Amino acid sequence: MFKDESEFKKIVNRLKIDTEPNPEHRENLRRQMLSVFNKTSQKQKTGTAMTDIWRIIMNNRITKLAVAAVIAIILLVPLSYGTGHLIKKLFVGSVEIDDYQGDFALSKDIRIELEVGTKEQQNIVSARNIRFFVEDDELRGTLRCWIRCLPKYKWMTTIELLDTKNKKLASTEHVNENAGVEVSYKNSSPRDIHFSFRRWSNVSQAQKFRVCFEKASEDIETTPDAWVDTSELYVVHGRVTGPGGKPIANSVIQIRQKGSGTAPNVTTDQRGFYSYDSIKWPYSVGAIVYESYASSQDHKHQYKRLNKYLEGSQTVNFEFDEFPTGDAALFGQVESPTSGQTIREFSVDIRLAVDFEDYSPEYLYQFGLRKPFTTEDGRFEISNLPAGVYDVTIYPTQNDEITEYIRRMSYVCELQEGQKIEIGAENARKKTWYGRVLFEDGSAAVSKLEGFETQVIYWHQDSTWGFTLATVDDNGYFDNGYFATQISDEVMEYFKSGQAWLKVSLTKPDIIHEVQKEGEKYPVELLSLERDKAGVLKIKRPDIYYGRILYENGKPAVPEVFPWPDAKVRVILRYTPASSKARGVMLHPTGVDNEGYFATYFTDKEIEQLKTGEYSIEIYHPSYLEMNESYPVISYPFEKLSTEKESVKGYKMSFKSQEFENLRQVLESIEKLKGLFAALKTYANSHQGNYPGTIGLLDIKADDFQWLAENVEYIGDAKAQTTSKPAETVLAYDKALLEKYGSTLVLFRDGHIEFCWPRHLEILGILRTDIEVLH
Amino acid sequence: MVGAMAKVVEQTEDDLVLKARTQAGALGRLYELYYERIFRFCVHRLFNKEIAEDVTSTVFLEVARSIRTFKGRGEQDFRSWLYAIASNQANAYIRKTSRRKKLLEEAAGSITAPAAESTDKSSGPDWPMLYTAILKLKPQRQTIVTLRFFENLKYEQIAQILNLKEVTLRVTLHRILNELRNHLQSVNDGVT
Repeated sequence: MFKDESEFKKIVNRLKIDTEPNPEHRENLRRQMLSVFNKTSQKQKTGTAMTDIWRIIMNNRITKLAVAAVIAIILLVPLSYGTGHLIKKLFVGSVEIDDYQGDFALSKDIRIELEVGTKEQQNIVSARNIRFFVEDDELRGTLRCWIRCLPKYKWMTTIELLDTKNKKLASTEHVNENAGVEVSYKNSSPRDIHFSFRRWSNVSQAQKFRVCFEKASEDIETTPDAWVDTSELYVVHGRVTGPGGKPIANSVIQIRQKGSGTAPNVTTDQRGFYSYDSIKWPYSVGAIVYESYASSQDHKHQYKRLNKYLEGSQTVNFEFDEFPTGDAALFGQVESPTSGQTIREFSVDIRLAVDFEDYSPEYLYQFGLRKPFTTEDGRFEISNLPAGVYDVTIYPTQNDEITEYIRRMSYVCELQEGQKIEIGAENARKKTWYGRVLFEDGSAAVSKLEGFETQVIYWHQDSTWGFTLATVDDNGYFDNGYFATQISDEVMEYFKSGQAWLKVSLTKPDIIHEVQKEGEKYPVELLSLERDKAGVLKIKRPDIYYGRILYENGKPAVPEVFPWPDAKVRVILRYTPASSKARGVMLHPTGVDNEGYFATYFTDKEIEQLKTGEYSIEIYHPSYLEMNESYPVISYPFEKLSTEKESVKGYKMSFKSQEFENLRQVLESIEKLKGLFAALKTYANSHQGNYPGTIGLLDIKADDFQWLAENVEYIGDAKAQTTSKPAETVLAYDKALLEKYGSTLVLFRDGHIEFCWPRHLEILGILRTDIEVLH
Repeated sequence: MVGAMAKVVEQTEDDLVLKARTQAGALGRLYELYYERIFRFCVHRLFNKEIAEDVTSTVFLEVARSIRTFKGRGEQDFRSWLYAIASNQANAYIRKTSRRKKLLEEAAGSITAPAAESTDKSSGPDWPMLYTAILKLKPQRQTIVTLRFFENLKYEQIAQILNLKEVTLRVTLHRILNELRNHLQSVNDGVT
């Protein structure tokens, strides 16, 4: 059924278990939890928490520009919790000054009604009541509001005290530069804005107060100290911009909440900003930008989605380029697939074919257009398309018996620059062309190293990436540096006119060839329809970089005893610094060879990145703690690589750090066990082939004996059964390793050493019952 | 420090844990980060989603009560503490024989009888079957299985949660797998 942990793990992984939580429960529990939390806090001294906050607030400096109240519900990604609650300035787009005036009173909840913002802005702030009080000889107050704040809006709140003649006595803006309105949260909502009039406490004169929200001037900078703890308001916001950073209005933002469906769409405002609150996480965000929108059957759009699921409040911006155009065209004649009758009215929806489940690129991008056609003969043409693979769907718009059961017709078309492709028609008549690539010395231009191949790559002057047409092959049908590929007549014209070309490059397969355009050009004239007439391109043989890894004792870094089958010391190219989360690219798929050598090619870009330190070469050693796991041990310095194998000096791996204690111990133990066996053999040779009863009888050095006595359990002849299978009979094992890690090295009677995991140890009878086990 | 907060700093979870001791906001955020994980753990331990919800509730309410006196220092400590509470609560629930019987019945009821014609031996046991087998282990061992194979925790993390030595854990896990193999065989044979 299952042999070991990893097999059991596989069984578990295949299970389908419904662990989808109930959002209602989640919310309710949250409230309950916070309520319990708050109740337990009240049992503590009441004054402490509040005064702490005040003390901290008092010590914050606010710059000259940033005086006055600011309410910010901007989310920074993710928010930092400060020891104080700071303020950030926000600006209101086009909000008038809103204010409220009332009679001043101390220590009393004064009700106010103040709605800031317009209805379409959904009343950004509703101020509900205000309370003034004196504390520590200062006049302070709290303004309670509901804030549906959208980060694009910024305003200033000022609270003023007026005398009977409406003369301003004090204002949170002007009293002194340290005064201001600051925000702190007690509960999820509403928000309380605490303010103070420092250095002014002449309360007796105050007759009226005024609460004022006004648009802040655009050039007020946010104070460096000013930001707000908005942990309880989960907001996604950002900006959509087009070419040159121009903001795009009316862009549709789609937010998909994993497991909870799509949130209602939001659109960007005139300045390209959008925001959305109350998002359930995790969620992903995408933006649709319309180049034109005439109707649901007639529009052009681009779509981008941030290709990962997010949590908490985030800023997600989208940048778009011009709607892509090109020289390819799609045409055809639409007919019913069942009856063959012409369909005259339809709309064509053509979109770049994209794999929506591909989460590897940072952004998922797609563009498309939809165009209606009313024709006599069912013919259509859509031109000015860039090359690419497209999903084309044709929707009949006429409503008659011809189209009664036809909802849509789908095709996949590959368009190439300057090509007109007919839908459904045989996709271009292509011919097979041959070419040949050799190295300067006349040998086939094929890689000596496993995992690399010589590719023939197609580039077009307008493309951002090339794609592989063929590989130069050393085996099989095409030998000696030949390659063959299918090229249509249209594309051959491109080659001839210089708009497209071929490049030859030695590289790893599955790599996306980017703008770097590496490789050498293959002159199109050399291509031939007959293999024997294919012209030869000679290229420079690229350098192979060699390295060598050794253990501290100078021996090649190849474990003599592997922790599990196929274990290898691997060489990985990855971003620096190495972390367990970042994955790298394996440089040499077969790992290090028996002498500790590895060899690889690098692209020019990789060499650059290695030189700047952006990438590094990491050596991974297989683990003796967890099966099938390897750990990064050291970085291999780029300078120590050499293009000549003979001149490579080995680079030693050291396991001094504590995290490699296990590795170090295992390697040491292997050496010692080997020494033990040698000594046992020597003894046996002079004792009629018998092993001693104890290791004390062996002729070995004192410290080796010491080590063995402490670490090894020797079974020996006295305890061994007569055996016909020396390879399966235990002679000795490392008891210290076993004690510490539950797995260990075992020396068998025939002299071979194996690393054994608990299952094997139990079979061998080594796993003892006196090792403490949980009952 | 205010100055340091000026730039947008990636908030580390360790800070969060520290703040959660006094700030509801931070506690709320920790809750959001761990709710699903704990709920999932409870589903794996208790099979029934409603029961899992109840136990999840007791876990977080306990957290709310005790976080102020939580002595741990960072995210790792918090996570271990949280899982420890969750394991204890789940075990406490299961210890009642009546409840265990009820869960067994529920799981048994969900086992889809293997099709007589099915020759797909590689498909392995389904979840209700596996759960029934796991339920036969002692509660502490059930926890180990869940943490190791369902929550994918490392040995050292599980050792910290359950306050065990790592070597003990490894050996025990090996024994657990043997036990499970036997239990699965009997479930397969229709013996409950």
